[in-house]
Amino acid sequence: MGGGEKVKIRNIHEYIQKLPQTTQDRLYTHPATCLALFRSLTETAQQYVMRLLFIGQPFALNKLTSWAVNVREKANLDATKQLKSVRLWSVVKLDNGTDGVTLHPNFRKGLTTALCGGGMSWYGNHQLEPDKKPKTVEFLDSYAQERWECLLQYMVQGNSDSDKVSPDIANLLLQSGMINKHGSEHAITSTGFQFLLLNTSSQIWYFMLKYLDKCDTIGLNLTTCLAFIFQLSFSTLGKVYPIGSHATFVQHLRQIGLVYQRKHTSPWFYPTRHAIDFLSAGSNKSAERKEGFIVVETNFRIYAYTSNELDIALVALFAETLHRFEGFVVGHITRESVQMALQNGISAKQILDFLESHAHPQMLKCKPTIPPTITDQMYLWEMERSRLSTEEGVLYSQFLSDADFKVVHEYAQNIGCVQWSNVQKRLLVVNKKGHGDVKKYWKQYKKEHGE
Amino acid sequence: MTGKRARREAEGDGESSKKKIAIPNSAKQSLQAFDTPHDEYGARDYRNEVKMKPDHKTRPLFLTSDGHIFLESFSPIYKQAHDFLIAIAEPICRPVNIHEYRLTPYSLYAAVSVGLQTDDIVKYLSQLSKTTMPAGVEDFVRLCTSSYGKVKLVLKHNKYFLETAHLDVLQCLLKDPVLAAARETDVGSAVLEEKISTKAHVFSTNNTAITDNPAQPAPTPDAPDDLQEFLDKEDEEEEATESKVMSFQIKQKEIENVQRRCIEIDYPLLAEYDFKNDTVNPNVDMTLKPTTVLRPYQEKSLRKMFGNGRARSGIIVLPCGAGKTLVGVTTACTVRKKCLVLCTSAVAVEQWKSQFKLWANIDDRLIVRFTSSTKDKPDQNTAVAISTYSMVSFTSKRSYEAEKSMEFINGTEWGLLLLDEVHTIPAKQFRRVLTEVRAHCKLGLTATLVREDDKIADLNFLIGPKLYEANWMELQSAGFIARVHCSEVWCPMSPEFYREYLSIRSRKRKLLYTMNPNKFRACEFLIKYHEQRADKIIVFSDNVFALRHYAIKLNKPFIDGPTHQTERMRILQNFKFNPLLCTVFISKVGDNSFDLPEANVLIQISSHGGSRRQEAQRLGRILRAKKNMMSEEYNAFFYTLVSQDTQEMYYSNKRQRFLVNQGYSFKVINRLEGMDQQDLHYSTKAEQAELLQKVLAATDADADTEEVPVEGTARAKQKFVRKHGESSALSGADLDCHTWNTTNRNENIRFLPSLDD
Repeated sequence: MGGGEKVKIRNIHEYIQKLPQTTQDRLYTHPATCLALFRSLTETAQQYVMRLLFIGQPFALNKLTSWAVNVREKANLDATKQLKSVRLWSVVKLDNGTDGVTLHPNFRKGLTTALCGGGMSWYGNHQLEPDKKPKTVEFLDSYAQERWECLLQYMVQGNSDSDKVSPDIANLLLQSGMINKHGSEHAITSTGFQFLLLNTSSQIWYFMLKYLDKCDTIGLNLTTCLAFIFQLSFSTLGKVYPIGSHATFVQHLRQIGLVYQRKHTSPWFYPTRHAIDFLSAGSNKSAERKEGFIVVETNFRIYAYTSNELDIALVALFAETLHRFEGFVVGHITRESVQMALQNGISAKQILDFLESHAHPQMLKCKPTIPPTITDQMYLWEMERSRLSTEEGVLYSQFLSDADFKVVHEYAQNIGCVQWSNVQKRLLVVNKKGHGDVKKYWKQYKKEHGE
Repeated sequence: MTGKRARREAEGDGESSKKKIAIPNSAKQSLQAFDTPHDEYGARDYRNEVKMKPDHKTRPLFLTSDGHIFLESFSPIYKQAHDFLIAIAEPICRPVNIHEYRLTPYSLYAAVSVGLQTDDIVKYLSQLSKTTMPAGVEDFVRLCTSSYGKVKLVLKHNKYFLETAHLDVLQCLLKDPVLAAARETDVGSAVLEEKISTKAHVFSTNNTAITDNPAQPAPTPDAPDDLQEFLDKEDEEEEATESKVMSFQIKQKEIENVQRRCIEIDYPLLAEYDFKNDTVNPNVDMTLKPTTVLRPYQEKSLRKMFGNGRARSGIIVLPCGAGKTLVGVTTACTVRKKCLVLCTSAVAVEQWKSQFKLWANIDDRLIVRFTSSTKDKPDQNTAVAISTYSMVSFTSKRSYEAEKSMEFINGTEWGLLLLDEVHTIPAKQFRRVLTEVRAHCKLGLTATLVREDDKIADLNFLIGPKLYEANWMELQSAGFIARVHCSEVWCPMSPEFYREYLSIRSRKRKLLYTMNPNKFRACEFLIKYHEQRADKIIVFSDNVFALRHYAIKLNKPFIDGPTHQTERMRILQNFKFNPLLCTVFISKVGDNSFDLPEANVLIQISSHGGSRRQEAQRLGRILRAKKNMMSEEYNAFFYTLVSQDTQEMYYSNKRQRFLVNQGYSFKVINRLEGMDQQDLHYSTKAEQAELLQKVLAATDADADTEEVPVEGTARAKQKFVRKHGESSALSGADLDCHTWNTTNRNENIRFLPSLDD
């Protein structure tokens, strides 16, 4: 079924959970990381951490839960599970034999520093001369948008236009399986398709995770990179920050528009909105959206009010385009075009989500936004692909006589495990569940009637 | 596109020895964007060809160089733009937000004939467009409209004149040898020059309550300045204008030659009837009742017809159930001359008569009917004659009575010829009607101007251009027609039936998927469900074998070809008034013009291949506005039952295209909720096997759909020749008895509904 793996976005906890313990330990020494992690906890978990933060010794677990009076059991469980999963606390035996909890020492120190101040400046003690031509927020936004779309367009367009995306980034896309290469040309994979249908912050988060997975291979330290990312999420949009020791990493971030740097030799950079916001995508889906542009009609026509190449490329993934104007594209959703998309691993739901989230304001006036016929038909087309079901079975063949076949066939029929049989050719297929019994019966039968 | 046209021309050549419908050369043109490049996604790329206007947001449409128009229905000036487009272009699809139109030679011909000028078309089109005008479109419009509508065939004082306002055209006409020969030479041979005042006929029939646009809407503030003129111009056609025209008289017997010749020299004639000045044919006593109120769209369509105070020939397209008959009656009352109405069946004849009496003040004796069974005696005062197409086009020997009636029809000079369900006309034998019956003005009425065989275009030159086409969705939201919930129910083929279906190659395959027990059960379930809601249900089946089987098994009355007129009427009367009879099974005979206003549920179990028209016509049976219209979201239900994984799926998709283009959406139902709990037939394998045996025992002929001669193909004609020993058959025109085929003749046991209990 050519489906390919489904794109699944791990949230920040799931990511940190998978890291080796030593990496976690090192990570928790950075105050910014501790603060970011703290903020991503559930409310109950945050309460526990705050109350434990200044208690210097292990604390009885049963007492701890008594703090949470009006908290539902579920929330409580979630909180403890969350804290345990990323090793923010560990359970120790108390003197009286009961369980007690204590915060991770590095985390305690880091969070205390972050909350109460002290420690080194996050960006070191570099003296910055003020930028002569400060960049506006609008400029940074459009810059970030443009860079990111460059990356996405590179994925969609087949020809390797190498000046759009640096070799490092192209390589990363290749390694993470979002594109594959045939000679100098590349094509998007099913994972890549699904990636394109995500919203921007989820895309960045997913991409950054792939980047971090591979950062060892380009000679970067995972902990430093992670810490820097967390640090960025606390920076202010439109302010200048020194690069310090992160030169290579910043270069990569610059290529995908997470930071702006005037020249690659400049000693300072501006973080963009993408860098500041994308962490929130890992925990909860942010719903920032530009105005929708897609009109879908009950006759399977699709109209896209856009001149954005990427948007058009996305529409073209599952619809046949017919007419193209400046800022207006007419397309037709057909069985073939949708089947093509399904074959590439995009699910009907993803297409519908895409349509819904980009629906033109006119479409939003009616409920439901997407005509039910379209929704139904998409699912039906998807179901068409899974109408055959498979079941394992065991074939019995080469019976020596009709009598032998008849006996086994009858037995199998009695216990109701025949999947298929052909009397003329003496073939019998029984399902897996019945196989043991039939086999036993056959052996016994042979013994009794055997030679 | 080109392929299709080529084929049509080839067909045309084949029959060229006979009378061939001439089509002007310019009508064979079509707009094609050969040189438009394709972008990387395969779409036609117009970005280099046209430029977006800076104020494109306020303009409502995109125009492609191959003549497609995309109109935003949410634009503030949508209404005006829509009125304009409907006049100049063919609507392709009109769903909710964006409508698609196409410029064709025929649509432009229609535009000219309702009085639009070439320059205006070009000007307004380019003003409404968001982009600059694509090259080629303007040329196309000019090419198609330059010769159209310039010459009119006018009947004044019972003399035929060729009339034109253009001196150069007149020169050209006078020089033509054929036309010169046809010119009346003795009296009035000179070219007449006169001033005519084109004042629109005003429908002063109490309809002040509903005027189309009560007040001119205040100019839309955000519309660009150049569009202001267009907005103001709207409906200006009603104003009286004076213009100078030249005309010369031609001989009456040469009319046909003249018409053909004019098409050949690319000046197709527009037929107009100056009925107000016709003193030779006396006015008849017929007026609309004061209580009769026209709906806005009906009035609009009539305005198109009587736009310049004369009656134009043409076609008006309104959805089924939207009151086509009233439009016809109003036309007759406006022209007030003798009127001949032709419709498709005897049932429809009755309906027309009752509609005439309902809407108009007319003496009962002035209306005569000619059908196979009823032949009223015409006399000199007869004002309205109603007959069927098959009556007047019948070629074999007729009964004495029928002969007399035909003499009357052919001998009378009709003021108005009303053609109901005009889409049936292209069938060859019906075309004769148009040449034999002499009428000053022809009006075609239909809901579905589509045919699978492309012949619809011929109607433009047989009758006249399309004058008006209503938007189904707008009528639906305004409550003039019912809101229909369309669904397609997928019935899985039972494995035994499917095995046979796959192994059989003959026509019997059709029977297998129609008789699929799961389909039967679904049908039974739906009937039970809707009978509980006290709905009135019609079940349609093209296949008579299935129809009878279903009906007899479920103990419901059915109507098919052989069902006699009186029995038909009895069943339909019962269906209307008897609360115990909620379901009736009807074969193909009920496709057109069975007016059953009570019915609100329609179940279709077998249908005629991929015919879009049949689908729409059937839907039309339940479209008439229902009581308590506003209370429910949907007030009518249309189900199509299809057997999964069979040809039917493919056909049903094809059939739905017309309705989908009108904005309807079909919901697919995979599983009927609650069907398992019901006690239905064919629940056991044994019963199903029995049914299978019965189906397998049927003959190939049983699998065929019923032949209804109204559909008018060569095969139907053969049937006419075959004589059965029935007395009614000898009388000639009884079309019912000609549809008997060998299988159902033997099986003459008729299931009669017990309506007394």
